[in-house]
Amino acid sequence: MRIVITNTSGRPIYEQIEEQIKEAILSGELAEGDLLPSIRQLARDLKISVITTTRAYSDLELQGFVAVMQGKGCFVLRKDSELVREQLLRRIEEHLCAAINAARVAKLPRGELRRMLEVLLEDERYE
Amino acid sequence: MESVSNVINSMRLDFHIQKANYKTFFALGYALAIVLGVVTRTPYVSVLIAMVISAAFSSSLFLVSERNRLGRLYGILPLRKSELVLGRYLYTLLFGLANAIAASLLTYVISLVTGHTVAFLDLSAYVCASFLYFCLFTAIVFPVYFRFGFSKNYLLTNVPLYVLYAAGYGFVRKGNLKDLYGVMRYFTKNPGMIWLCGVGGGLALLAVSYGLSRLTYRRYEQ
Amino acid sequence: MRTNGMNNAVEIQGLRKAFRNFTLKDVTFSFPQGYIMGLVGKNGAGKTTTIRLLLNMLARHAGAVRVFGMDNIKDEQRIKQDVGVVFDEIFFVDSWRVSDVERAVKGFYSRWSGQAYGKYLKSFGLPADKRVKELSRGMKLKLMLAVAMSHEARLLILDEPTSGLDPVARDELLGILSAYISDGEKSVLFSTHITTDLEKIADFITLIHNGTVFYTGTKDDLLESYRIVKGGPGDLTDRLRENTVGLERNSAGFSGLVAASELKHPPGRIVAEAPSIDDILVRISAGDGIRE
Repeated sequence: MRIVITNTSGRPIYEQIEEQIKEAILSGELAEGDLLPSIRQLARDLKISVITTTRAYSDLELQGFVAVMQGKGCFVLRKDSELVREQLLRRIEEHLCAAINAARVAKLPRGELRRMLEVLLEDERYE
Repeated sequence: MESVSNVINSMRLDFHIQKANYKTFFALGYALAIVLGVVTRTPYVSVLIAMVISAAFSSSLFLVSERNRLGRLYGILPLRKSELVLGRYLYTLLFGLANAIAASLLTYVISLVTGHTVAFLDLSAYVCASFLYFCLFTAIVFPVYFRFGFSKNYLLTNVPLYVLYAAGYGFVRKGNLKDLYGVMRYFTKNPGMIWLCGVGGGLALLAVSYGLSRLTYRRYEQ
Repeated sequence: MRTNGMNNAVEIQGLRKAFRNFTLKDVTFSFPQGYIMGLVGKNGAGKTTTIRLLLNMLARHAGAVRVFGMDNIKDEQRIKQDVGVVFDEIFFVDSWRVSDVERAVKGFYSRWSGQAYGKYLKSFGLPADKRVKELSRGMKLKLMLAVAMSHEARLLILDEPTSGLDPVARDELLGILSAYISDGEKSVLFSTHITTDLEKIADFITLIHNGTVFYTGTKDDLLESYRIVKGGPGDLTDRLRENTVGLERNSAGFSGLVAASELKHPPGRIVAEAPSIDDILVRISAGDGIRE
């Protein structure tokens, strides 16, 4: 599992950790039942505060990506759980909004935008 | 209140503090004692010299402590002030006793080698007197060092004592014993009293001094 | 993150000590076992005094200090069995060999482990027969650390351990401390004026300024509570100026430290970025406290 944090991005470190773990789960790199490094081990490896890793893990738990078991560790949950799906839907909405905003700046007509989507769906062979 | 094992730990610590300078002490101190004992043709003088130098040397505990900021070590260790103080007194007492015995043996050796005889009575007197001196010196300087530190005070405490010693030595050398005939006769009749006064007196002085140190000692705010 | 009363490594309340030229007052902070608390402040702010008071090396004038829930004066001996300390200067006799250090102190600790000491000497590269005076600055620090960690101490206290060390040695130290607390049972109190050391690994921060506590809480909260604002000369509103600490002005504009709560509706084109602990320390030292 790859987690790389940066001090210069302006985003809080716990957020960066959450994002990267979410990415790994959603992309399938981390499978259901995989054990994440312990809170303290992760803190030690990344040379950051234990409180930061605790926060990242508990946020991920709240969002339904992982489950923290006392004494055993932090496990990845099933990918198609309700909350995970919600995350993905939210992600799709975000990206679509970004596309819409860009289209607005470019003054692209609505019909053109729709056509663009259809073409891309064809190209990407989306079922 | 004090734990015996911690007092022993404190004594062991003092031993380690002092041990680096042992070689110098033994070499110089006893060399001087031997030389003077031979040169003056009174071997008993070795005991006096050895004990005087031992007394001065035991102050080195404070010197080394201060120079190496051991006050911080004392602050960290699970060691009570009272255990530290008692340990130092006991260690110094043992040091004094050990030197008294070693110096006495040395005196016998010198007397055998140089042929100047040594009477047990006279030797007892010298040993007890110098042990008493050792305790007196310690009893005076220790509370001062415990309370006020070493570096500012060692000149003040030492000078009067050396003056006292020099005067006493000169007094004894000149044989000005007429004033003490009464005392001497008493002691000659009761040799046991020499030991009682010397050793007992010395211990009493140390006990009083210990009480004083324990009341007034505070750890240095470093 | 709330610290409940139980299982606090250290609890200090209303600590006070007056000197001729300086007074430490109303110092209150605590942190739970298993974490690292950084005590930050510029030189002379009161960090070392606080630590001396905690160890009862100085007598306090007021306040309460508890370590592992025990009073630091009543249970001083018991506490010190469980506490390891490292200072900025070594406190062993300089003619001692590294092996003598063990002989001198191990009797005091009921849980001294010669094995652990030997292991630390080896991993730190400290030869047993080397004399203390022959050790470099970094090696002296490691020696104090080896002693502090060889009697199963539950709390490590370090007072300015890294002053005079190069960045490589400092990084090594942080690695050692991280490993030390990795079982979740041991705690660290680390005082320094070099804030970059704590930036990464501290869980909690107490910032001391002029003898009082400016902030105490998690490091994350501290960094989220303040912002460095920058803008052009025309962007400095009166309201902003009132709420800024450590304001710096030049021909290109201004910068200063502001509470994040003040920036809900940032005026104009000012830029607000996350501060480092250093930024906060420098600005409050320049500006004498936040004006609300």
